[in-house]
Amino acid sequence: MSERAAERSIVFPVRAPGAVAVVLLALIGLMALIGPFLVPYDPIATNPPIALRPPSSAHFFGTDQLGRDVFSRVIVSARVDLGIAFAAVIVTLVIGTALGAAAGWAGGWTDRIVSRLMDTIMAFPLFVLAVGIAAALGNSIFSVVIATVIVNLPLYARQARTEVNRRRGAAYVEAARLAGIGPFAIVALHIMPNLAPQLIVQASLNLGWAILNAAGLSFLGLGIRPPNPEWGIMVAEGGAYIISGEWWLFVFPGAMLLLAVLTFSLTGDALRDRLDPRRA
Amino acid sequence: MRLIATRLLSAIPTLIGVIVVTFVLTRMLPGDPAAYFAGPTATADSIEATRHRLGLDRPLPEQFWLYVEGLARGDLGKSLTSGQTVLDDIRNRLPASLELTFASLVVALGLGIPLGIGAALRPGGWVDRLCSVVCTIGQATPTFFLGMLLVFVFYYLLGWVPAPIGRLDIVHSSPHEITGAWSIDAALAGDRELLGAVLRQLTLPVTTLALFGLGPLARITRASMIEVLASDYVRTARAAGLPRRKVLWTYAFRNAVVPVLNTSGMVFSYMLGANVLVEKVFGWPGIGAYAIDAVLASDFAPVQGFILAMAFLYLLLNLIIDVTDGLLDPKVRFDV
Amino acid sequence: MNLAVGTVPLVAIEGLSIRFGGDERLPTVDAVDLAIGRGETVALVGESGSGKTLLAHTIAGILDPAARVRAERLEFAGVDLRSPNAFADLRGREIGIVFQNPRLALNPVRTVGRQIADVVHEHRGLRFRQLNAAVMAALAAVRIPEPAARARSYPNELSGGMCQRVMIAIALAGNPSLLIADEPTTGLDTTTQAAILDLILEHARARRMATLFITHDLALARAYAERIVVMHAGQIVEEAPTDRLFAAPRHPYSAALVGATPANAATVADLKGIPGKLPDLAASPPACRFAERCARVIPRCRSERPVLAFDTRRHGVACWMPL
Repeated sequence: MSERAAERSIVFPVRAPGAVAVVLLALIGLMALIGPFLVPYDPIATNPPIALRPPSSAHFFGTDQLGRDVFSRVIVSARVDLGIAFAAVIVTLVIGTALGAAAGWAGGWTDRIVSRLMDTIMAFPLFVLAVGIAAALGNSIFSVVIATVIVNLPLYARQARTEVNRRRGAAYVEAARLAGIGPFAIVALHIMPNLAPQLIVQASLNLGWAILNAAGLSFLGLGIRPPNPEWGIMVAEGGAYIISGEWWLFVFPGAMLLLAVLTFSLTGDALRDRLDPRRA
Repeated sequence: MRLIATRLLSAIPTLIGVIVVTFVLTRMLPGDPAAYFAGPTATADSIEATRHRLGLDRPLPEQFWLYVEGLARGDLGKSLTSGQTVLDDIRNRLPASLELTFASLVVALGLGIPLGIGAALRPGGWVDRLCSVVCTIGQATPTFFLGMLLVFVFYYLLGWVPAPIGRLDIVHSSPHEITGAWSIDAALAGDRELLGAVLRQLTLPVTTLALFGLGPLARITRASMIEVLASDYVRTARAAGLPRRKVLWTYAFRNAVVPVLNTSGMVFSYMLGANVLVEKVFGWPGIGAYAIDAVLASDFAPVQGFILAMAFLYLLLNLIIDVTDGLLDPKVRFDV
Repeated sequence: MNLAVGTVPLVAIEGLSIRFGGDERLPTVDAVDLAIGRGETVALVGESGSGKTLLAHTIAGILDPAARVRAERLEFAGVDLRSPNAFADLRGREIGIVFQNPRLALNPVRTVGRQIADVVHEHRGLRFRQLNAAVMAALAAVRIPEPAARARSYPNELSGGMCQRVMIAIALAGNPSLLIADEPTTGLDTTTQAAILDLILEHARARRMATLFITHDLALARAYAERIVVMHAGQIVEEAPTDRLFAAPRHPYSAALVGATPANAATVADLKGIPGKLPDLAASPPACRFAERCARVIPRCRSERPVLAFDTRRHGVACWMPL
């Protein structure tokens, strides 16, 4: 039929963001890894006399209501928020994929139970469920991680289930089974690698959401407790000072959150263009 | 009709799962509500008495049975902090949240659909690029941060909107409630000044939530429209000389709308969740703020009620969307 | 121009080239001339990829925006089609087009009655009762039984043949002076094919409407067209009144096509017996694009493009070694 040149222009204009993503990723990674060693001030040390000072050359992001240096706190928080997000995403990826693969391979009751479980999770507005879980487990990093893990399970479980289901009847799988290779090895070594590119893209995009989730829970007071620095808590505390004009308390940690999430979104998009071009 | 019935039936197991999960979760809340309710001067005996009175000393399965039984009667328990039944509390606070969420969804659709269509009509053009930027940043910004930023810029710096202290400022009193949505109620009462005040208070929270929901809606509209605009039937419509507007809406958009509708359901769900954050930032007396306050006080009945209400709302919405799908798309009807 | 002397052509195309991509790319349709007179039935014949559909879409005004058109002359009823708003009054009104795969070419969420009504309203300005009557008349004119019931049906409730009839009704709604039928019988069974083609011809005669059939099926062309234009790889290689083409084809390609066509009017989906395939335009094709497939090729064929030359009996061929 006629050459549909218009198809070429369906692709989102995403070439530049790839480069930006890499730069941001490096920046944030550095912040998380070596930030705590390089900060000019102790993030928890209070200093009431210099409370609520605006940004200056001495304090790049100003000081908060207890005289703590906002810049140092923001940098140190990177490790916390990213740590939570990474931990959550890795755990949920492993468990979710395992559950989905089991359901897809075994079929029958396993499939039914896993699917029902996933459907139940998805029946709740996700953040509402996260709030419920985090509330039930108490104020700690652990509860935030678990909440994020559970809420994200269906995402990975579904993908794994579909993939395993699709390939269960393939010739090479039959051959492997006849050769006496156990189901676990078959799924892990022969079927899963096909899913790898999709999983990586999914995980990258998921990281962004995990950060938002963790920050949101902490903002509400359900996650990490102060005085530990964490972006969500800092924004929550800074909220009280908006109407008196001390904007630096909430803007910098909030902007950092935005930057972190943006980084992983762009990275995910760039990865998707590379690894899974037909989806782009 | 058959469509509705089948969808309802398939929703039942999910509903059961929701009820069970909610019960388990809220029984796990830390802290001892009996001690809290008994007060600071409580002795061990009075705490025990309180516990017995609240039915908290019965074995867990029995508590669950009591709970389900209560649900069937419409009894969601009593809030330990407000003293009223959870059902009443929810009835009081839900309209505020619903007004906020629905208004935000409408605004998000009103902005997102044209944006997506504009982007689809000229891929690579400036509208498309704008759409891309807005969507990416909109999705990456934490809702609470966005809310605060808007308050800072539009209230503190510019003074264009009133203080974020809830549904109405201190000068005005609430309208006579018919629907619970104060904007509609004020309009129904013909009170223009009150309506203006209500809308002014709604502006920032709605903007915050709407910007949050804009991204996915614009994206799906764009993708769906691009696909539809390249279809054979749009080509026929153009070749037949139909005017651009008709081709765009009656032929293209009408076919592109189903995925957009389905995504609206998903966006509504996100909004229900983000509602909690927005209510906190703007002091909105909705069900989200109610639940968070309850959590922090280890008052579990309201939390339970909140989660159930949200899940139920979401279920209801999905049902409505399924049915609308069937109405809009003759093919779906035939499949059933 | 290959028309009877003195007639003013309805469609007048000279030196039309259509290219995709930059100027350095070779044109997909290469300097083509075509004329269609009022009331004439012409068939444009060629393999897939010969450029015949592009040509049809150019005339109908629905060419892919990415395509770039250049022509010495491109006119419909005297209107220069290259000017910006040329098609505003023509599309659907003076020029109607019927597509293949009719069910996919109709709006799936709108009843066929409404779709016809849309077009009738647009071109004839009718409303309410008059519009309704016109839609019923249109359905009856394309021989759809029980028009009132059918009008309320959706395309996926109708057979392929019925959908094609609806398409024809839509194309004829503006009372066009030219109907383009792009492979109108693809996907239909043989009996329905004949019925559809007969219907088109019947309307063409009754309305004194010019018809351009786009097809890869020479047997169809023979049965329904007065004149046949043969295209290969974006170039017109031969053009003649139907009986003259079949009696004495002069281009090796046409001769092979004629030879491959069975005597009765059955559809030939692919044309076996012609070796090779269409040249790759990116890989420096020869000047006459049939050269590599031709048994009569000489060096001149590769370097110099043969010009379409007509004899006194309106039979034209573009070949250095015609039969």
